[in-house]
Amino acid sequence: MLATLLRPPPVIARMVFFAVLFGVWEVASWLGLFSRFIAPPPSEVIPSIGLLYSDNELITRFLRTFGEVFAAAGIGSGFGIVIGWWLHHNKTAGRAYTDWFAAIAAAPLVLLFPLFLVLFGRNASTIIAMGAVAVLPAVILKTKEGLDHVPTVFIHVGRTFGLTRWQQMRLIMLPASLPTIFTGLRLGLVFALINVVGVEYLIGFGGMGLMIAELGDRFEVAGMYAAILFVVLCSACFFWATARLEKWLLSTR
Amino acid sequence: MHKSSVLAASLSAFLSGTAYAETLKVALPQKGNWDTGIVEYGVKAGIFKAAGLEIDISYTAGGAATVQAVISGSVDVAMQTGLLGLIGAYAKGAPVRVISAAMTGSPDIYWYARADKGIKSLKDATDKTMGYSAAGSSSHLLVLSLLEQNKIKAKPTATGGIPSTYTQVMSGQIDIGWAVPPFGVEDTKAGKINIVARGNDLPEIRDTTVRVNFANADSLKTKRALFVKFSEAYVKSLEWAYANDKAIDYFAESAEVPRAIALESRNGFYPKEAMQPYDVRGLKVSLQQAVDFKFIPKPMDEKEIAGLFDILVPKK
Repeated sequence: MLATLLRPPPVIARMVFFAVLFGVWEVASWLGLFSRFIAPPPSEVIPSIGLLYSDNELITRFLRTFGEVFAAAGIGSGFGIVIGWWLHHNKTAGRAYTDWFAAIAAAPLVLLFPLFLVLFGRNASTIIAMGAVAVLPAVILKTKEGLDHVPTVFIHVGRTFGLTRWQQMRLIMLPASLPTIFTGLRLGLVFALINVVGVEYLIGFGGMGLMIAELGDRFEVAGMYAAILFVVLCSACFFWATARLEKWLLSTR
Repeated sequence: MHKSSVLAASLSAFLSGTAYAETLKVALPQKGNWDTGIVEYGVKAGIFKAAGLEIDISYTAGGAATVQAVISGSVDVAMQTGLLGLIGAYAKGAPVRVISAAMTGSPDIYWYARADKGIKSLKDATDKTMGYSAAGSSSHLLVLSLLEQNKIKAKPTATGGIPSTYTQVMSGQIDIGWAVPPFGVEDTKAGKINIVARGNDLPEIRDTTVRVNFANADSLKTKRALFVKFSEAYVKSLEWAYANDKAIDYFAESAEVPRAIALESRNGFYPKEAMQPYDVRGLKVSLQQAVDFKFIPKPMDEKEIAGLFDILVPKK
């Protein structure tokens, strides 16, 4: 019994963490350690999620943002896997450009939004394009890494069976590198979400990012935190869902 | 004189000097505009120092960020802040108090089109896209009112800040953009753009206070004399800025534009009367706008909002 209490299952540990975090936040707020106009207590923030639904078209904005996120992640991942494969396949290109993509991954690409505004206009295309660019480096680097680390013995076995290059890729290279590629896809999805919401906020267009900006402008502080909390929860759900999808795909290899 | 007496006298002079110059942290929402620069000009002209005030200026992004900076005590006073946002904050119980009016009417904001587009007035704007900064902003509100008043069916479009709006207009992504001087004044003179409409084209807006200066209600209780001193110095700075050409030099320097453009911006877009600090006017219109744009959840009357105002500037 004591051992269970000291070593609780991960789900319980997470719930305890959030309960303690929200409890401390609530008490600190009511004790006046910080102004509720700057950081309202959870008892004000959580009910505001309901108000977002009724007053601020939460579902429409959610669908809009996550539509943009999936479009960005899809485009970025498609190009990323192809470029990652090319960098693996063409050794000269791999040596020449891999470091560049690593550098791009570390750059604050969101600052390029004025350029994208000129190129695409103030519409969803700018948001999707910026999200896709943010996805690219993670997917490229992880795809290349996954393909580079396929054990040579697998490739030799494939050759022994007389597999064509396409069969080699489909039956050996891709399944063997799938866990690493999936890590890139999951990172890419997170970068897409961060950039899409960030760009929506910056250019005042779109779904959840715009909603956060509007609530802030109207001084709906609890609502603003509720919207941020909602985005964080959605992000956690997507991360969990992709982990389950990865597990399922790997089990079917 | 005895050595110790000299030391005591020096120490006393030093301490009294330090106590005399009290520091006040002031937030300005935008660098390089005439209206937001008044405090800067007053500091440069030595008006605040003469009043025994040391002014520590910081620039904010405006809007809710400025309100939060004042509530948290990061700054003591914020200048030229939208009244609607403050009505919203006050209605939610935020400890904010308006200490003076800052801009009555909207003589500064204007809408323009590329000269080669052939759009010379709002009459030519039917079916055209017309920019505003963001939903619920003062430019949004003005666009809707301008179109309604002139019975024009243009397409209001959110275009973001002034530079990004300019890029969208010049690249043809939208037809009509918005700006505030000195931005665009040079292009207007060069014939690259046409001014299509101005904020003050709306009669009901012309006499409505749209921006104010405000402080934290709790600080106002404990340091009231300091805020009164600041407000008096602000009024003196305002008077000085309109009477002294040196202010144009400061404006040109701050906005990084030629002096002639700074002068034209001030004279053409910032009439002194619009910057009167004494009365917050047209509150009924502002309260209606606050409901329309969801700054407050239900209508409020002037009595309910009266506590927001604690005007400190001496009556004219």
